Amino acid sequence: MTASIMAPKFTKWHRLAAVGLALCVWQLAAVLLASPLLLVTPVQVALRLFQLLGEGDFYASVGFSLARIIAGFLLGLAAGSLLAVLASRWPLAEVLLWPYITAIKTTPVASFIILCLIWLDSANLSVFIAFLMVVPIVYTNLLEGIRETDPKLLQMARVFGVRPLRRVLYIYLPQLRPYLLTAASVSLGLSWKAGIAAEVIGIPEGSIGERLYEAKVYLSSADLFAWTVVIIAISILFEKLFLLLLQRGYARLQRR
Amino acid sequence: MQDIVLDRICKSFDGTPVLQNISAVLPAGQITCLMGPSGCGKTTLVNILLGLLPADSGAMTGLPRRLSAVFQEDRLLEEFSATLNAGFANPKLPRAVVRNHLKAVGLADAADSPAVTLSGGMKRRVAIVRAVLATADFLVLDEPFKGLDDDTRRLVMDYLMAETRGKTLLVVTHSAREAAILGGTLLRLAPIAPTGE
Repeated sequence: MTASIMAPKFTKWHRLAAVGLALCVWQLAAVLLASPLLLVTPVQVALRLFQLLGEGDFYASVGFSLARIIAGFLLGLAAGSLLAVLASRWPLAEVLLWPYITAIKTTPVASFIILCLIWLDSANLSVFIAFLMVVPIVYTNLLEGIRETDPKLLQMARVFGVRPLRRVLYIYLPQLRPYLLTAASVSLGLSWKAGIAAEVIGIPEGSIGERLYEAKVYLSSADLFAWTVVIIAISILFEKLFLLLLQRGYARLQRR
Repeated sequence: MQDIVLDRICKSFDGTPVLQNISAVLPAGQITCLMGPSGCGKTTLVNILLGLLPADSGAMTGLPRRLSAVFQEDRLLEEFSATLNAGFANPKLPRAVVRNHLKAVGLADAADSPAVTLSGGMKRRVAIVRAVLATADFLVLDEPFKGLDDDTRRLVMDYLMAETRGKTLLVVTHSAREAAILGGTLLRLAPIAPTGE
């Protein structure tokens, strides 16, 4: 007799219902606690969020953090890809990179933030921290992807004398697709978490991190929750947008 | 263009000899059919000629710089169209020319279909067109008609002979009938007799 475990299929409505239920639990907990300092209700957070949306500073803070974290992510994506190519071609490069990649992966992000505060201007700290979080993820995923590229296709390209750019476009890129999508998805979320953490510690003027720090100083739970909702929303939106652009790029390549 | 001369080519894998002192001449501009039972080293010889495997000893002369091949497997870019695959080795070729070649082997309707959606026989024909369209003086075809029905095989053989006229071809085949239709020189590879204790 054989038994199989089927993964449950959740629709969009199931998920929406789950979110609704979680909000109800939150509302109930906040009402029972009856202390806005400890836990505000979701309704109070929504009201504060609408207030924030009407402030000019809100958009300035979002723009400040968004620009820096995206810059750090894109720089990390480029550097991680380049290092993966180097390591796949030269084993010595992989060995030489190993201590750096391992150190970045295992060191607590707070240690990096404090260390980098000594070296860098706090305004650009989130760029560097987001960059640091992205590099090892992209490097590890792409290196594995390059190594898994079908050797028979590479032999075929070699026999026909296909130019390197065509090999990258038509052999490597399609085979790297799942690795690139995974790396981008994981590292985007992480770059937001680490980037905002860097801003909370470095407190650059006009950043989301500064607003979170102020929420802590003034014990404003509504502000803290409202800004957290903003960070989650921007992070998800940017991830969706980036992955959509990546998929479109691939679809365009396939139509050639 | 000159004859390709193989002089005492030897190849072993883990001490087991696969090719022993293979000498042959592949006449320039003609078809040579390579025949022999399974496991006698035909694909090994093909890989040595294509530069994918080094020979343990022996020499090859007259090998042109530009090569083309139909491999034992189709080795297509599965996500891309039949047209892109067929013209992959020669990107300067206009798409219309590539499409005409696909049409000549009965693939007019499949020109825009991704390779992954094609049947085994269709993929084989795309691989053959790719080899024909590559800018090469020497084509090595490892069982190119494998998986084709009789009518399609005849169509593809006629296409191949017409489009590669004047080029040097080495065609690996198990079929004496195919070799007879293709004509040219016949090169038989025999299995190496096991050495007795």
